[in-house]
Amino acid sequence: MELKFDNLTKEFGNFTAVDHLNLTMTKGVYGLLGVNGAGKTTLMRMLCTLLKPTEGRITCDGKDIFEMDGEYRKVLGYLPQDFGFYPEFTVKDYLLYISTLKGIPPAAARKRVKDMILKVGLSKAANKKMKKLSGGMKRRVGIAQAMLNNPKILVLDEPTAGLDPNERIRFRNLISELSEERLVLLSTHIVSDIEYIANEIWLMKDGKLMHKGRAEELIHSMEENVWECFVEKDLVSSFVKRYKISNMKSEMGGVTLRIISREKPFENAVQAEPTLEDVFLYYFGEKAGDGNGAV
Amino acid sequence: MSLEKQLRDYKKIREISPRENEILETVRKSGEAFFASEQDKVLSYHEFLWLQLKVVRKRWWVLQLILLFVLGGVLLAAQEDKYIQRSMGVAATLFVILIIPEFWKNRSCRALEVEAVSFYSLRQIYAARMMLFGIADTFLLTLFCGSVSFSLGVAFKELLVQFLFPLCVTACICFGTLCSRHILQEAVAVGLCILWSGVWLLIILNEHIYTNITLPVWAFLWGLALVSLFAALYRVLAGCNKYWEVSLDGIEI
Repeated sequence: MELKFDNLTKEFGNFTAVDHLNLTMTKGVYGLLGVNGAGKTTLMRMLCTLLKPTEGRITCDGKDIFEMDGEYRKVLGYLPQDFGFYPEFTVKDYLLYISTLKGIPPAAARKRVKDMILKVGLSKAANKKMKKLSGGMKRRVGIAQAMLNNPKILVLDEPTAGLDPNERIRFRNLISELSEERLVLLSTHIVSDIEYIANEIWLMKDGKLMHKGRAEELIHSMEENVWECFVEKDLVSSFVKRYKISNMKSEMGGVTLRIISREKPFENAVQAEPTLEDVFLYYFGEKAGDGNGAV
Repeated sequence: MSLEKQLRDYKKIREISPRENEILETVRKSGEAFFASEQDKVLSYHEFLWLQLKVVRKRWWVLQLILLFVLGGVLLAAQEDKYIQRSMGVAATLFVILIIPEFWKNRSCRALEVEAVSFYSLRQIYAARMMLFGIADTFLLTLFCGSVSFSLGVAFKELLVQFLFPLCVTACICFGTLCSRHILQEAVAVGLCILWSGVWLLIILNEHIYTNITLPVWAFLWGLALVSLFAALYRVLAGCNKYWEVSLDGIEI
């Protein structure tokens, strides 16, 4: 299966949310990284046929997805950022209801629902009402509903938002497991989620693709270095004004700073191994740090 | 050796003791084969409609039925009071308001996005719900109008003007609000319906206005309401896939 964005553009009035994207996706996990308002959700909504492009098109194996209509949605699974559900339904009933919408016949739906409940670890909560579930459990129901039709294309918009660290790790592993034999597009602004499971990372800013590649490739694409230094507390504000600070750690008598800079920022600074979080700050620093470069 | 003994021996020789494991394996494989063949099939639209019927909460139909019973009882108790007859419009508004929670369910629960990317589109989901509610409500209203007309002798013209016309206008308001691209709350629709109900009461209880509106005018208004209702229904179906066109990452622009 091959998905292709061909000169894809989406405008809302005078605002361009997605700006002339040309990309191709095949099997694997694609991580979409960008600050809020970068156009990630708009791109995903177009991929899910919720929004029509202003210009350009998306093709699936050469066919326009909007012309494919139900045929395309049959192979699509989607977990929206704001996952809505019917609170009075039990987990099982909700999944059976979504199976109906996905056109799965009742017998196959019952089996599939049972399998998915088991897969996402909700066996004990299968007969619980949706409104009684914790945030993590709801997200798991969300991924289960997206997987009901065994989709070839899985689109996950901020799937780990609001989850505690344990749940996030579980969720990441689950996505990784589900990503075999399908195309997964995962959007988040939690860098570590993408770092672990994405085969290819796309960095998006102002609707445009800034960079794409594997985590290591993106790290190497940085034209600045990462430094670590211990400074007195009084000096921190002057460093924040001058450099992009990716981390600050208060310690006895001072602060350890992680600085992104081409030159050595301080005499005692030691060069450190860059991470994807540093890459994120390097590309999106201004927005991420409210203008002062700090995260 | 008698034939009987021979047969018994033969039966003993031919007796097969089934192995439990093999039976279970056969059952499992049959199940898998059945599941595999079912998975390739797609739910037909009438099956989809039937399953939608199972999902729709029947409590709203029960409440509609109770409302019509109460209205019938009130009309029976006040046969001679023409003002009470004219106040049927209030009940008509309530009758329509009762369908709002079920129709607005996917909007108020923010389940639109998940539903819209399914094999059966949002348009088909709304069409199914409209059809189900249409059938149920037409049945209830026919039953009510028929019984009131027969037992109380209320003329069809009166029912048309005092009950079905305000009902139709209320339905227009509801579906008009529902088809708005801006996600309006259920409360907005209910509020507009109640407002309309107040306006209607002012018109209908004012002898001067009521008596001056002639039958052709009522017929014209009734026809207009009906056309508007169909237009609103069409707009819901045509525009339901454009709900996301007004917002960017949840922010309306």
